[in-house]
Amino acid sequence: MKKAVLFSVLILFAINTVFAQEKKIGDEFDGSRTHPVHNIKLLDHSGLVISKNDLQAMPFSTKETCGGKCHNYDVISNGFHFNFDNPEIKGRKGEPWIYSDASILTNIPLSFRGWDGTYKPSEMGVSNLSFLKRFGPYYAGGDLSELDSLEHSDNYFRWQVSGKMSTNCLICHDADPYYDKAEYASNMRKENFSWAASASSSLTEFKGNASKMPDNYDPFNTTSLLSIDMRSSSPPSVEYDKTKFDKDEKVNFNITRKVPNERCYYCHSTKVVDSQFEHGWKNNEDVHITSGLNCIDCHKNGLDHNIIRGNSKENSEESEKYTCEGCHNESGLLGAPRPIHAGLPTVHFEKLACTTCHSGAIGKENTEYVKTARNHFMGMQGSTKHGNQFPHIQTVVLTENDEGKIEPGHLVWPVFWGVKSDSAFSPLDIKIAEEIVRPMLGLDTLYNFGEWPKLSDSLITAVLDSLNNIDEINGEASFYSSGNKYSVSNKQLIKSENEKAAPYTWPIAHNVRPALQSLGKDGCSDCHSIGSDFFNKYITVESSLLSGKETFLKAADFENRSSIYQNIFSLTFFFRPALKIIIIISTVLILILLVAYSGNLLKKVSANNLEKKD
Amino acid sequence: MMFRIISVLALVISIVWIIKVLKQLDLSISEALKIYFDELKTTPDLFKKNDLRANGSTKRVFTVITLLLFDLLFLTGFFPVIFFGIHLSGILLLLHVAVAPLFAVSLMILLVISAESNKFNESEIQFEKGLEVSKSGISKILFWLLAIVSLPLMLSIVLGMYPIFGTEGQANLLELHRYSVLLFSILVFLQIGFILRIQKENK
Repeated sequence: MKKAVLFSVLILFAINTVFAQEKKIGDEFDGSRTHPVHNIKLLDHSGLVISKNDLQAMPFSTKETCGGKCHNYDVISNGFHFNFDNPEIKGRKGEPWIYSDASILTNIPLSFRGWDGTYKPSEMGVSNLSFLKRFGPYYAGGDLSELDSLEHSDNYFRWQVSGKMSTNCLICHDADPYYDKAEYASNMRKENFSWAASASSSLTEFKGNASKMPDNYDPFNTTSLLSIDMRSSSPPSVEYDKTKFDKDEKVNFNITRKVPNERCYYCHSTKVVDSQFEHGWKNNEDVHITSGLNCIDCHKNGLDHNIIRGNSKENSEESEKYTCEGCHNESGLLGAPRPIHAGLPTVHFEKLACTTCHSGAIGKENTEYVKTARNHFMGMQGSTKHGNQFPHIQTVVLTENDEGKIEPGHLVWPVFWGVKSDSAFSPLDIKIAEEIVRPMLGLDTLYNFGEWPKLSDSLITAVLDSLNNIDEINGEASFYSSGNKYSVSNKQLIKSENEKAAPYTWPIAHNVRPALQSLGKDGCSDCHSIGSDFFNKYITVESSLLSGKETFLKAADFENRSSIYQNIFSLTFFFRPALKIIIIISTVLILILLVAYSGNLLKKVSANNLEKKD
Repeated sequence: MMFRIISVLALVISIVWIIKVLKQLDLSISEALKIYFDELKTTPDLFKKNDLRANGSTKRVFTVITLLLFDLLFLTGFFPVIFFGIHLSGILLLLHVAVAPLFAVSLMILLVISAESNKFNESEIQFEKGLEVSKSGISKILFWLLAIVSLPLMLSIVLGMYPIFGTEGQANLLELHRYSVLLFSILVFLQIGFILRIQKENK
């Protein structure tokens, strides 16, 4: 009996696996490179066809509409942009989601991928629903916003109101110029998860705010509307543009296989807060884009949507082709020119990533702030355009990566409250921080906007004392900031260096600069000169304490190099011209000597030959 | 890796050969050193005509200096590469770069002042029954080979400092430098061995 059950389970598993991998009609490439026209019927979350004459229109579901008959949704929704809960997908560390709230003195990098230096949102009590409400504008759907298993039981009713959000194909593939990403973002903020994809498309008019609806709100039950104050909020409702439906209830989706760059930019834009900050037109595009390439020419993907990230750690044959070396050294893919690097000793290729010289903002004496789309909510309606907006991310910081190569990146200093028990460490639960820490700090974040708050030692001590005396905390509360841990001992604030407060850095690759704008274009002295920015750039250590002055660290500290040695080594470049001349003169003299005395040997040989002949 | 294997093998063979020579000649290291430096007393003829008074002691001084500098370069550059597989960096690189020009000058002077005494005599190379070279002839051939090998040895590095060669060229220059050093080291060992043999036999 047991065997039969086990056998049945295995058979079902095998069938499921086979069908999960199955390519559907739209997944198989027939060889035609023409634009695929999508005249299709819209399906709602129940798989029912949406009609222009529906009395109560429902939002369309991308899972059902795109993934029903044509595309394998299960395979696609495991792609890199949607597989956050998969612990096996880690990859090279990247930009975290930074939970920044100056009113609770918190600026903490979060990630679901388990990158070193980041915390999972759940570790600080941030549920998936809270996460999506905060960072959802840049979340492409699926996974966290879709799987029941990832829901927090506390949010059960809110999930019923907001609905689930399937992997949103349109966020990348809808080529309609009226596709509104900002509308999508706005709806994610309003917890309109199941409506967000529809609302952002050009097929609908949408209004409503699910976050303002009560827990018992039911769009099909009008009695639940009685408790809603319609003057301040309205329930989510969608209205379709009837002119876009044909007589067969089909609509034309302007779907493109070739995702336009602008779609990538929505989540992947960055803006350095430098002297050109106010004048975007002065900034140059990435050299690949100006050469006519698109993001997806290198960042390709197959049906699985595991997009090539472009680094050698991905360990797949296909991804290796689209690293810098893959195109520029081996194959000349996409017309990539082969770099000459005349006069550059090969040791540089062992110690530096290509991006070190060719990417990021051109080196300056100090790091600058950089705004990123996902952490500064760029591109949204009413987004802050202030350069000093939190979180403060610094660039360009050169760091040593796992391969021992120096590469450019961004940096953020974590600031947070943490609790250490005997067995574990975690950041302070966000609810406790909001309920206890926020009132005690009494920070008005609108005042001195852009300046990270600095508080007295006594206030930090008082907060830590309070935290140590509440029941919810089992362990010792500490405050982490500017690379240090602050804890209370005998009513004194004790400061100690701590790796949990170490800065989080992540590599950057764009914008790529051409050879004539790269580091080293003016010779060795670009890096190998005394006090060069390469080794001596100052990285600001922003303190949260009045007693802790703003300090600076040198770039060499992050590069795992000694700045003293590098400066001494730079000194040798003063003598290089003399060294070259000495060696050249020596070799010329030796050459003359050889030529002069070669006559002697030739004479001997010819004399011997003559004697032999005689 | 291939270079490391070849280098280790070549150096081990060279050292074993030197030890064998010492055993054959029944010499201790101190005796060998004395014999080797006695040979350097040979007055170099090159400068005699110009009355520069370069004599055996000058040659000895430059030989000692050149050998010491060569040892330093060997220890800072060659040794860590072949025995530990590490690249030249840090203090070792600083030392290597600082010593290199001194070595170039010292080697050039040594070659110049020793050139005259390394001219071939008629008895040293014979072609009567094919090529016949005496031991002193071999020693002189080694001397001239050292002079020849010193050219790629030095040029391979100095040319890499100019924006002439691209990445492949740079890599090739580095390989050329490595193999030149290896060949130079082997020639130094052979040269010492042959000088010891000749001197011992002369005595």
